[in-house]
Amino acid sequence: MTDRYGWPVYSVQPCLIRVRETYMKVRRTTPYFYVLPGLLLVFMIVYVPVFSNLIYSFFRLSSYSKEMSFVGLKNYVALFTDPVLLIIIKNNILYVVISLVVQVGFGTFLAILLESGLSGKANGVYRNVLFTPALMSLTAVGLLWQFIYTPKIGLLNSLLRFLGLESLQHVWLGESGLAMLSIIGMSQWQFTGYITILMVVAIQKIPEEYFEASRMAGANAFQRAIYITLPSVKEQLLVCSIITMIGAFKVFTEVYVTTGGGPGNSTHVLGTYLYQQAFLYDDLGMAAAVGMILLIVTLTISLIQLKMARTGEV
Amino acid sequence: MKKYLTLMLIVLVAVSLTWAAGDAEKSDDGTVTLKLFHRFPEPEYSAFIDGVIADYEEMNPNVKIETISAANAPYKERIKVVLGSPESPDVFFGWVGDFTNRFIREDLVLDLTPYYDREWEESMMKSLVDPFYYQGNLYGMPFRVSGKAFYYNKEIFDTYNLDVPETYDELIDVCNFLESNGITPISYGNQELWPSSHYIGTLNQKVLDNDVRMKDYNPATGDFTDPGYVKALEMYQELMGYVNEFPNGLTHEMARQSFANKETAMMYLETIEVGYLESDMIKPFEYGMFAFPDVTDGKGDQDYITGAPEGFWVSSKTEHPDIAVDFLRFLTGKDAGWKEVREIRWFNGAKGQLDGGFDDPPIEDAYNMMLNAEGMAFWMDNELHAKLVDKYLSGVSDLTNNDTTPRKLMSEIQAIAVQLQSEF
Repeated sequence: MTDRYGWPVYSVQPCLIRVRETYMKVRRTTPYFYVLPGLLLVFMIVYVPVFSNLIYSFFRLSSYSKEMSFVGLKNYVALFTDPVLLIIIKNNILYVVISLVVQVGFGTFLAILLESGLSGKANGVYRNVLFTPALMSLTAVGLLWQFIYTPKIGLLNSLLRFLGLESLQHVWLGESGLAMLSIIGMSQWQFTGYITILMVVAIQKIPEEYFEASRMAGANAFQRAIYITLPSVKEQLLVCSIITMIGAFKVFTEVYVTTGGGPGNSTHVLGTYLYQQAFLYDDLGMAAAVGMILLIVTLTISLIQLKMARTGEV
Repeated sequence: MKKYLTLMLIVLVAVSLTWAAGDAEKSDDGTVTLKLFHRFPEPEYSAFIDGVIADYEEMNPNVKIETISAANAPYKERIKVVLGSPESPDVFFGWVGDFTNRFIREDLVLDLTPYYDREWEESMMKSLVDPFYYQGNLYGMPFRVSGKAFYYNKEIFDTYNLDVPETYDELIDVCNFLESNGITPISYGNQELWPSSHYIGTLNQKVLDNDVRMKDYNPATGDFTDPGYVKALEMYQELMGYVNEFPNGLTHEMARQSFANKETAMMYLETIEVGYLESDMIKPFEYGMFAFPDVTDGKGDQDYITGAPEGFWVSSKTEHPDIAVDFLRFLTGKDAGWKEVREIRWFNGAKGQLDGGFDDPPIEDAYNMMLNAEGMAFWMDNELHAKLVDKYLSGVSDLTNNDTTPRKLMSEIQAIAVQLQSEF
């Protein structure tokens, strides 16, 4: 039997099979070699520390101690019976809720406004203005806001005085009831624009035909936002919510730079509490226990995200 | 072939990683390299230390000294980590009290007792070296001696014919008088929490019997049940009536700035802050210092000063203990001290630093105040156990805002003290 060029087919066939066999053989093992260095790195940098952190959380040790002593669940018991934990949970939850409302809620609203054509030619300027704070270093932003919040000469109180609103002046970072809200406010200023830009990208991906069709059908801008834009970007909304929530639980620098947890313990969050245990109290075991709690919280949020992302197809 | 290439790549990555983590410093020509870790990154102070090092290196050509520095708060955190690591510095900065004692307990600090011969001892001021002993052995040497004093604006005091208060009650009278004349008596910024520990540390020392205080400051025996602690906090609360507005919203530096701007009449500052204060002043004015006034019914020694010599220690892990100790001796010795007090206006623990013409009245005042003091109450935030420090600092911050009471705060501190006793 020959093919149309006259080559005998039978002689090619076994050859091809042999080629495929050797090819398959190589393919089965080679990829693992390629993955191995990366896998090793991830294992060493991520999984080994997580595992050793778990082990440390059952010990009492400091960064300079000769030996560590096993204390069982004592660190966890101490953590859950510490009255500061309640303040921390309250603060972290407040951080999450306000961040979700302002960053994701208001951020999305801004994104819809930006993409609605209302901003016209200045669209690019608005986007840059909104995004710039997210590019600044957390420490710099913390110091900047510390100045804004300074009681006597700070920008905020000066502005309030200028507007004749003296009664609204406060010691923003020095009053127990206000300090946390002041820090959260600073965080919103920095990251709302970031979420806005993420949402702008998602909105731009929506096919223009949807909007055209809705315009023909007589939908107004508000209806278009509710019935077309939002349902089309719900995956992105979910991702943004998760980023914001995890970010709000992991928050550290903002608090550390501005109040360090004070006045009293009123602005402590999980991050600063962990830091305090490790580097002020020399209690790395306790810090490891706080770290495990932080891991469990953020892992749970991520798992929920993974599960919802799979079902949340547009 | 591809397989070997991949394998080689893996080996290369692994080897380079190990190499990168390995020890890089070794010399073939017999030069000894020592590492010095200190907390003075500010240009003028680090330049002074670099100058001392240059002098030492010139005298000892086979020794090279590398310095690393970090600012106050980060230094306190980093030193704990590096001392525990194999990359420990040979000579390092530290505070007396539990800050360094905990490292001594872990055998991380070299015992200087065998090196401290008669000649060395005679060149030092005993009262300033004594704080560096722990359980009978000497571990460190003073580099900078600092104490707390009320700085006052002489112009304001002269205008109103005010005398420097000698007792706590007189201080309150002065404050009342100033306030009735529309002047904020005292500058105070407690945003970073530590400034309050200087007030509380002083008040505790003045009010309480020294033995009781020392027993309580030791985590193994402390219970903080003496009513004097509540009284000290009440006096703090009383003083808060005479400080500027919003002390919890101001940093120590901002408060010092307002004293330098003549907005207030007094401020409780460290003697080493003379330079900072003068550079804060837009228009220089005459100022003086007085020690915290006596608490007449207090049980503590009223001639104590709150403060501490800060110094340098040698790591027990150093490979060249003899050279490291020799360098320590030079860094904290008379020649360096002579330069130190003239160049950066700090003094160390060596005798004869002011010899040979010295004209700097505030520093002379500070020097004499420290030397004439009966003893020193060390910084409370270095002397107490970290958990007690935290409770004290966060609690006093609440007290400043009137969010807690002295009694409530002391009962919380007592609970922590009991818990600590069981751990020691």
